[in-house]
Amino acid sequence: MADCKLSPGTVDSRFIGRAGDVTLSVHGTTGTVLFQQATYKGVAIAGLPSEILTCTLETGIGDLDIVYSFSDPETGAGLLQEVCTNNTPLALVSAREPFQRYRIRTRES
Amino acid sequence: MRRCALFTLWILTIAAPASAAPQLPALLPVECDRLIELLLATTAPDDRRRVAVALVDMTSHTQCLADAMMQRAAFPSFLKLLETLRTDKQSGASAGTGGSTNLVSKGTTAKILSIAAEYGALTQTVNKQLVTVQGSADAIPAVLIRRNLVRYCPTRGTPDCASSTLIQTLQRFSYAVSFDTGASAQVVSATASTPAGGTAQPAIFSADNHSLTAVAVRAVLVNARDKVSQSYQQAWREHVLKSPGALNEAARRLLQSAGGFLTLVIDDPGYGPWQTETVRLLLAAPRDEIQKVWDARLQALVELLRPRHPDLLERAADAVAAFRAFRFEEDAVVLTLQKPVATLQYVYNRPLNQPVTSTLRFMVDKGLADGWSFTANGAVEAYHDRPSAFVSGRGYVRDAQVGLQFQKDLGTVNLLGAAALAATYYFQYQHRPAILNLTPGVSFPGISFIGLPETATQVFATRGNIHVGQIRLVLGPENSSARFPVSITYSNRTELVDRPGWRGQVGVSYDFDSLFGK
Repeated sequence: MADCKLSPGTVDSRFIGRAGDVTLSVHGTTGTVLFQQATYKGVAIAGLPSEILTCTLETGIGDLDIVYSFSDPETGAGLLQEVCTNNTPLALVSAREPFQRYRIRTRES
Repeated sequence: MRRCALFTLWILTIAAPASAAPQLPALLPVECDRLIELLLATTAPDDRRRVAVALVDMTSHTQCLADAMMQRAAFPSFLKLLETLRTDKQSGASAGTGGSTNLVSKGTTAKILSIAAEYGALTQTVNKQLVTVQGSADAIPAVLIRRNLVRYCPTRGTPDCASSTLIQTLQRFSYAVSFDTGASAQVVSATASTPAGGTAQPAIFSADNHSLTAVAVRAVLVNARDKVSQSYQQAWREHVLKSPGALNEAARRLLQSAGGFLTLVIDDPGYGPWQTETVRLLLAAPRDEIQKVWDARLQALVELLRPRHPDLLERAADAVAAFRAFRFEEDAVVLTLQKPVATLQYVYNRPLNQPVTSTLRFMVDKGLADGWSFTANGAVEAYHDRPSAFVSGRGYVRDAQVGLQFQKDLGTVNLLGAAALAATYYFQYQHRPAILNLTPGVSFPGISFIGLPETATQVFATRGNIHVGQIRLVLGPENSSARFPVSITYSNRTELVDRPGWRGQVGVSYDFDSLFGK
């Protein structure tokens, strides 16, 4: 399994980490959650909808915009994780806020 | 559920950074109202600051921001703006229509429209060729919402919009209209208008058009609501992954609309200072003033951004519309997967050359494990007009019917596509005999009468209960809405002929939901 690249960020960036390929997964805690559509730096990410999302993070700051879909559109919830050795938990997700923008600040790996 | 909660708790615990106080989880909620609740409940200064910083980060609650802007924008043009942005499966005939492959009826119908063409009678003696159009009562509002002509609101009580409750209520009602497309559906007769004389004779023509052979209305009495069950979640996952059509489109629109609106807000040079000042004010406010401070700061954000972005409210309204449209599609998937458990159906039958009848049918559908499902029907059919005293039996009741079906979804079969196999037993208690109406001088399609007096206007058969067994296979190409039902039945008799026999029925149906739903 790949080394973890991301961790929850601070005020300016929701995630910080290293540039390179990352795979994210979303685990439903209330119902099932999927990545429905997403863009990184304005470019659509292929292979969605899916339970995992893979993209290549570039050095610097970039926005990852995600729309999640929920099997329970009212109270659905989940946890966004990086698929890596520690499966780092990155953020909570909620059916009441299906659109999320993650500003990611990365340095060269 | 408990396992999920424990899993989340464990994740939050192991992810907690060393600096965080024990009372606050490592990952904060994203909803603004939950963050305010957390701010009210938290006492440690560092924790309160962390929550306040999360609250002013609009990247995690764009919907909250867009909704708040629309609610707090108290300009005269607001209402006008809202107005301008108002956004907005049995498929064949029922048993007993003379052209159907369905020996029992099911509660599920197409959400928007389905068309089925079927040939072959089940309990009748004469085979018919029927085309059945079906749809659900929520189809029209759904199309209006998807075309942005009507706004959708997930919560009840919002004025000027179609609520999820309304859509769910309408979705319970569906209709079906069956047309007899056979050559005998229209009978034209001619009567000489003057006494016979010569080789050319004037005549008066009259047509008996029975192309509309049945109209049915269904109401789902009880729906299966099991959003937490594993089988529902599996079905939801498969549906979203395999046919994401409308949901995907709504998600793309949401990305564009909410993303554009958010960029406008957070890229404004006043946003950073607004965040800093809002955190300061929230932390300085007494607990009972926090909500007021937050409301005032949202209003301040609107006033800060408006002069620099004249289209701010339009962008906010567009984002709100996109959130609602996405929620509508999410709800639509849930409704699609919601199976009717108990359904009541009324059918008005006006078959060619037979008395008009009404059928009241009660249907129960139950999903079982491993792709098995069970359907049961009970029905009573009555004549509209009391039959002539010459017909044996008494009263209006024509017959009573009971049907039981076990179906197994076979999944996707090589070369054949999606397939389902069903075994059905049907019993018809024939209280009064089947009656045929005759027009003197006009031949009866499909039946020859011998020794009948010329003045006879009705004939009736001998009474007898009907037992029918059926094996039905439904095939459909993968990723297609077309279905091809084929069935073979054995019955001890038909309504007219007291003799056992084997019969075959074929059909084709197309569910237009996948087309119109996009």
